[in-house]
Amino acid sequence: MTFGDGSQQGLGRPSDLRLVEGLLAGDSRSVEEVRRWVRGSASGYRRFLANELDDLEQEILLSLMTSLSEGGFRHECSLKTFVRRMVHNSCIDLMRAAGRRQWINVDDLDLAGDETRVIEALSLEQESVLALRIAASLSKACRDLWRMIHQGLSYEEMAARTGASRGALRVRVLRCRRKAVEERDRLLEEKIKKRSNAPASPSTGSEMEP
Amino acid sequence: MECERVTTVLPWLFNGSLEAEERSQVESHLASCPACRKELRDTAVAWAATGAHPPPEVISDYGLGLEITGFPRDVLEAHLADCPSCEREAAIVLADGDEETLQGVPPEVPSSPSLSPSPSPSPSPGTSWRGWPALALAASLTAIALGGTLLWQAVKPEVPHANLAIIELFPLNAQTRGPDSEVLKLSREGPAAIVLMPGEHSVGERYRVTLRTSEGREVWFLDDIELSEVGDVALLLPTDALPEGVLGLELQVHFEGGWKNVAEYAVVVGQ
Repeated sequence: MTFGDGSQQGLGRPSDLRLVEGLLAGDSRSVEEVRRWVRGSASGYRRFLANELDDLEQEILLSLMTSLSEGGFRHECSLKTFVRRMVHNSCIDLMRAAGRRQWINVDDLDLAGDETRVIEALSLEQESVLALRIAASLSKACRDLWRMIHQGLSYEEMAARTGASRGALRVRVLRCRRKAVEERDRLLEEKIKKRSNAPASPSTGSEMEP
Repeated sequence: MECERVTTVLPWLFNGSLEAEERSQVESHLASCPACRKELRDTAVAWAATGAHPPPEVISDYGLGLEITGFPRDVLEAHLADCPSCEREAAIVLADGDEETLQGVPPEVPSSPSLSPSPSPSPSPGTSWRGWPALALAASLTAIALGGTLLWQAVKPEVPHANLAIIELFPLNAQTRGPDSEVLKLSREGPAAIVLMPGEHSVGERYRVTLRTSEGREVWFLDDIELSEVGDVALLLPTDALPEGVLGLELQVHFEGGWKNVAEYAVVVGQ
């Protein structure tokens, strides 16, 4: 990973080395300096996470200490960038968790086989690119309709908002759903084709050949 | 319950908004119908795809200007241009605590999906940040006194409870806010206004706003609204003369010699 902030990868800036040493030794001035960084970067989330921000600040500092003591900071960037990144990741995580609705538990549907795992599969981090590509292939109207569903609106509410009849609205959503499935199939097929057309790597080439 | 009916309500089974009785009918049908379970699986694909967001690390790295590894930049930027919540996250990271920059971060108001949106006349992908000055203005709008006086106060980033609808003219698409929800609801009691808030992109353009009934009958329009960079335009609506119910609001821009649709919204005129 390249950070481009002037740090020498693997060596570490002298000021960062001193700061890390101070933090691990419990030096109050070092802790205060890093706390200022944390507060600065986290301040943008105050209006979304007002009540949780103080606790989060402590949690971030604790995680940072753990990470530093376990060698998680490898001087690939400056310590300040490392801390800022940690703050933003934690705050976005918390903001998303706070805004998350309690959806129906798909496991409660008592379905057999692997059908219930579809959502989990597409929600996995490595599959989120595929999921986003599918979403991007839909028209904006489709994405807007599904966004309303994710906002928890009933079909009656959606019909009222869009001015469509309930039946027409449900059919429109169904069409969007079909497009999403078609795109998923197309992307997966493309992926398989690419894999089968890709030249074999030197290490596995002999194994791949018939 | 018939398969056709079950299939069309499945998305709302996911969001938990079906009535208890309907939900129970759908579930018992699913238990005995393999074809509808296949439909459920397909619905799950759309549900997961449309509810997906890039991981927080990707948003952080993007906002901090770091190299993004393991995630295609084009996918990320396309998503940011379309997802208000991720756009807001990236904006907060970009501001990184700088108060002045944070003023331009979109407030926590979901964008309004329009009825049948059409693209803005000359969209510039990846430049959705340009709309933030307009958002900053929207965030500071707390009250409007009709009759010629606009009252602005820079306090809480909330849409006021006024008979007012706001249309923000973004580079990529127009977004709307109503007084208390995403749909534009206006009361017939007293005057009402629609405020057009220009983004950088819409300054100097000429706009036209038309209200139509569901049968397509034109009930009100205003032509040649020219937006300047020094302020927003409030259109006073003769609500007492408008028919009650859902009206379609068309927003058009004068482009290449003719009027082109920018967006359409539902405006609910009630008591």
